[in-house]
Amino acid sequence: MTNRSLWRSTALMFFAISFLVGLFLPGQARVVQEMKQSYQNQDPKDLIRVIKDLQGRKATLLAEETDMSQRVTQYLRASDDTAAQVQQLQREEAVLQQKIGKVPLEGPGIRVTIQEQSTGESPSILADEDLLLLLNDLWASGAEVISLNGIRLLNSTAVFRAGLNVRVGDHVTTMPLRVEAIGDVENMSKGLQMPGGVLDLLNLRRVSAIVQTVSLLKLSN
Amino acid sequence: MVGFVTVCGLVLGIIAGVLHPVHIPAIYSKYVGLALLAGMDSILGGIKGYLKDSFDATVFFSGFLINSLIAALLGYLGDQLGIDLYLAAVVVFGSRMFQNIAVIRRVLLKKEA
Repeated sequence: MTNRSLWRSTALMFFAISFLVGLFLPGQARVVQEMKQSYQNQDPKDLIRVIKDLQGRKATLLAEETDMSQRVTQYLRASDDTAAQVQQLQREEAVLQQKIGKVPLEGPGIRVTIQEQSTGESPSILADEDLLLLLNDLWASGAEVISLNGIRLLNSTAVFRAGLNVRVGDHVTTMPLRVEAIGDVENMSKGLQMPGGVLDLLNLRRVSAIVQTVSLLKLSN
Repeated sequence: MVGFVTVCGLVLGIIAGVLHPVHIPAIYSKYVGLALLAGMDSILGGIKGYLKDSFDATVFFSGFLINSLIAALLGYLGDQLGIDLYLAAVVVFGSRMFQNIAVIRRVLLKKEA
């Protein structure tokens, strides 16, 4: 074997072995790095530190979770309050619409038919104060809505006699007068018929007043 | 020149290992590490022998194989017996690597002079 071929084989051998060693080095380094990152091969002291750190983080996260839960509860309560307020406002709106006569209403009520005798030798006339007393008694005994000859009474409606007619707000109506009231039927009947009440007064003045209980009254707006 | 070839082989091997990584199971990584240490010791020993004109290819190649194998087996045996026998291989190969490097350095310095 010549020196040249000997050198070649030696160089080839060095190259092959060093190539083999180099080939395995990155794989070995990668495996070692992966092992360092896995907890199984960690130093127990490091693991204890990691556990303490994780426990601290867990406590912090639990505190945050509690805080967030409280906030969510507060928001939910606030939204519930808002919904309740909206419902209350809607109810108030419905009541107000009833009071201002914007919506037609129906329900159990009473009908009082008043007939005066304006002719003859001894006429009987329904006085303003008697009519107002009748209406106020109805309001006081539980009437929710009242109409006179189909004209809805509002809080600001003025009712008074105008000659032989009756003026109800901007309208003028004639006798006989049909007073219809929706509300607590029993209370309204008792209120009108109590001794010394408005019916006694009308009877005393010889004004006919017939009280009827109606299971379903319909009052338009 | 042998040193240059060795460095080239090592660099090319590392590049090949990075581009196409050799999968080494984690449980064998300690033994592979010992084998690689023995391999590097053999390479340095071979360079030293070449520079001192006492290089023998058979000894070099067999030393590389046997030393790597024995180092790995020593580590495995130590694990089975509950003894850190791999430390013995690490100490021996590590100190020999330093000695070989020192000799190579001296020979190269003498040649330069």
